Amino acid sequence: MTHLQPYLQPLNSLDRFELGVHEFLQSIGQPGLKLQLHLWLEGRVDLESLRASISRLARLHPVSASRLAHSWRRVRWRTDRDADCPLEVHDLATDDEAAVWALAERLISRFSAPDKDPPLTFHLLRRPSAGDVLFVEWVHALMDGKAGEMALCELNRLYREQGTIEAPRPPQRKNEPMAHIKSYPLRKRIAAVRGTLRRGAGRRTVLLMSDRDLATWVSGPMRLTGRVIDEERTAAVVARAKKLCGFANLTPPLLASTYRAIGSHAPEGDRADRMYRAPVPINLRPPGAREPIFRNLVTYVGLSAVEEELADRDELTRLLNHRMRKQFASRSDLGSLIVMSRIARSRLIQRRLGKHPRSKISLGYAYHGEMPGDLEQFCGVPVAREFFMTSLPAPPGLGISVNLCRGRLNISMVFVSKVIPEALAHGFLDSFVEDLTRNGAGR
Amino acid sequence: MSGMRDRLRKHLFGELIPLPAADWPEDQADLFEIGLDSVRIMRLLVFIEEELGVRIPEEAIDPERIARVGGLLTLIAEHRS
Repeated sequence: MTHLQPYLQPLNSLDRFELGVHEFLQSIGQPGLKLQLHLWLEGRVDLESLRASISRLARLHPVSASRLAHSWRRVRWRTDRDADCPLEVHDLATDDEAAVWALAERLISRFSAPDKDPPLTFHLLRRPSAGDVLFVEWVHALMDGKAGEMALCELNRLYREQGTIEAPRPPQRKNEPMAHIKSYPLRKRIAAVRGTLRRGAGRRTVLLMSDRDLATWVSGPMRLTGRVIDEERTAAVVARAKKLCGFANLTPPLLASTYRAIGSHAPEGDRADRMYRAPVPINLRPPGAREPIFRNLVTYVGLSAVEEELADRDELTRLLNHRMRKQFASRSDLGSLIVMSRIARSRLIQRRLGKHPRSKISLGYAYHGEMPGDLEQFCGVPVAREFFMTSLPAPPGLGISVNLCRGRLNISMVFVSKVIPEALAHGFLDSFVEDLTRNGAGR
Repeated sequence: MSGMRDRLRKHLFGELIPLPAADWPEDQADLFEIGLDSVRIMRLLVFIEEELGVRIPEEAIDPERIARVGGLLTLIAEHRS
């Protein structure tokens, strides 16, 4: 095998956007814009094989073990062929799930400087008599939320294909988001941006559960928790989505229950003129794509509702599905991508985000779809659960991520406990799950 | 209808679920098995409305019919005015 020489990989326009957000968050005392993926395994992985696979990952994709380098007003990933992605092993004293969540909270609340620290790290949690849990943690400027699964699939492939010789890959130079944007005619691009900017102007502020009208950003520490909805209740949620939306579009029912649960926990006097809004991440990779792993390639469409639309869960689900279709018809996804790519220089982002936070932020939300078949086993051990986490400030102070894993909905929640007390956060999650899985549509 | 079928297939397998021309599936193939997901259905509905001039209302969308090119063509034919 020929080793790749060290090289400088440029960040694409979305990487730069996420880096700008990362730097803004650090300027307000946050650890940065970090993501975590948790794989809960049914057994124990072979540690040496895992180490070897992670080492091969760093050889094959040197950017995964790189550092940010600022030079000539440009930011790039500086690779080093001898660098490795760290794997930390944590021997837990108990099988208790709370110990797993507590460690995840500590890790995601840890300051991350991608010019000094590796942008991608692995943590293997060994429980005394239960299955292992693998955490993957990365800086958003390296890759988006969906790409975490792609990195794990690649690791799985390297674990399975022990004997093959890896051909070194040349660094990817293409700016994928700009290539996507340029695939649309200019008139559609202009209309998309105009529509996106128009929707952003004069909007009502987002209703949050905090009883404080936050005039400034509040940082962590983050609290994390998760729930698993069993197969029967998951099948009922999917069947309801098919009935109400015409196909298994899970974002409308998930957001409908999120908004209703927030509404039921928000201060009474706070909600009259407010709206509920969440950015829905849209993965731009073709189905089955394995690349680009270490790049962001995602856009967003915003989905909102107002208080008077919350009374009936199923009507709200239909309405959100209809609005989602309208967002695609107006090329809101393209408009968001262009706007993010244009304001990707961190100073512009900091200027926008630094203004009054309540008017600039949406609730944290992501539906990651079904876990890829390649991940049903990880390093030969069946995967029981999968959770996604994103560090976030307050407001919004609360983020929900959902995915389908082995026929079950896996739900994870991140919250900033300084703003959303633990009892309120768990009360919200209980209401959300109850509303999502209950028969009957009213309040 | 064959012109519409060609345009639909070109959009489906050229843009939404990109495949080499030699691998384009038959009209009865299950599109969900080759990568059709909720976001791509949204994009497909927008394409049918804007480029083929046929609006399919949400309540008429049937998961069984949108799973195949043949079913989609029937759905489009039913909603052509």
